[in-house]
Amino acid sequence: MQIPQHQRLSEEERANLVAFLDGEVDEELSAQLEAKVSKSPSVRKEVDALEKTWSMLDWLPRPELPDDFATQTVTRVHSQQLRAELIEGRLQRHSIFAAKCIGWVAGVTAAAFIGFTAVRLAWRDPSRELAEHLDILDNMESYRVIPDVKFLEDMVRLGYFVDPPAEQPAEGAAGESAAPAEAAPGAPAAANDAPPNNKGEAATKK
Amino acid sequence: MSTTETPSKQVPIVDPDARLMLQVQGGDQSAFEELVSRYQNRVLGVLFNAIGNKEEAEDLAQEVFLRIFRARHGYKPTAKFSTWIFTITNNLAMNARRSRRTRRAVNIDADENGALGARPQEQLLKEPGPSASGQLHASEVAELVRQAVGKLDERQRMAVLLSKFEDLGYAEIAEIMGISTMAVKSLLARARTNLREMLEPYLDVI
Repeated sequence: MQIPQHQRLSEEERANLVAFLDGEVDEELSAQLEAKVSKSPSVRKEVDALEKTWSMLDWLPRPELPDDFATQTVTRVHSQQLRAELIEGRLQRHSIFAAKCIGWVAGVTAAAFIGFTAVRLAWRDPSRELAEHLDILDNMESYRVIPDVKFLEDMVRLGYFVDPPAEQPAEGAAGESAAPAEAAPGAPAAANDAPPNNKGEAATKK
Repeated sequence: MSTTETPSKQVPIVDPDARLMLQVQGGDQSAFEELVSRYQNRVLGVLFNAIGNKEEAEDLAQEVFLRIFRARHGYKPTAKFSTWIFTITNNLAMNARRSRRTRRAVNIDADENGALGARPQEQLLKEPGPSASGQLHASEVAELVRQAVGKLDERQRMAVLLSKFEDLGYAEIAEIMGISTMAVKSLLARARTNLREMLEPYLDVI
């Protein structure tokens, strides 16, 4: 026997039937479904089946925990706290140790750097000193020949340190490396020590 | 009376469990033990029927309370305490199911102890063995119902357990499961329809 339309649940009503049973629909829909349930045996049957199978869930097992579960849980909580504190303490100690090591290394490095810099600034590098006086060293052999300042002044007076002017090569003038007219008293002749030629002064021993 | 501050006014805390939790926050160990005692079997009931393994459910139950304790400093009584504790319960149950699925994917041994989900979906409910009077024994009914609930989708199952065991409204279930109220309505509608289809044939023999 076909159920009359007005006694059948619509899609929306079917979707809301469980919510209706749970009291979770609004008043309008609740009244609508209430009317349908009261008028339709098939809807009443469906509602009845839903309610009965729902009440079968009372057979589901509900195990219980032992009475000392709460005490056990508190004990476990405390042991976890203690463990966390121990780990935190260990981490702290390790951090302090690591910080000390880093501090030591930094300190030693800084001291080494300061020391190195101080020594470098205070100590005159012999090589540098030599480099600064290189031009003197280059002429050291010549300087050894000069006994005193007076000798040097004489040489200046005689024009040994003046560059000759550029001149045309004259006839007969050859080998212009003439020895000085007046040899410095006591000074040996140095092979490379020929003074520059001075036209006015140059004289060859004849 | 304990109160909580809102930007506009102080709101009295009417939830006794929330007041207890505030005492736990203050360092009261006995308050924590009291909370555990109040909720331990309720949490276990949901967990056991959600995941199907008693030992694992007991471990998870303890984990729920450990998490409650660890989070005590940040606790704010903005919602019912039961909502919070069952949110943690739901999360742990879902995680346990997820990791079991992963283990099952790796380990082909499907011989799981008491796992509700170990049976293949297409397996029919075990035919009851009625007694001489044609009635099912209590243990058989319990097993029947357990199998039926075990065949539900895990979200449907959790919604059913929270509704049936804790008598929670759709809004609170939605908050616990992190879904909308409409989604809860849909889950429960489908779940109860499925349960009706599976259990209705046995209504006459209970």
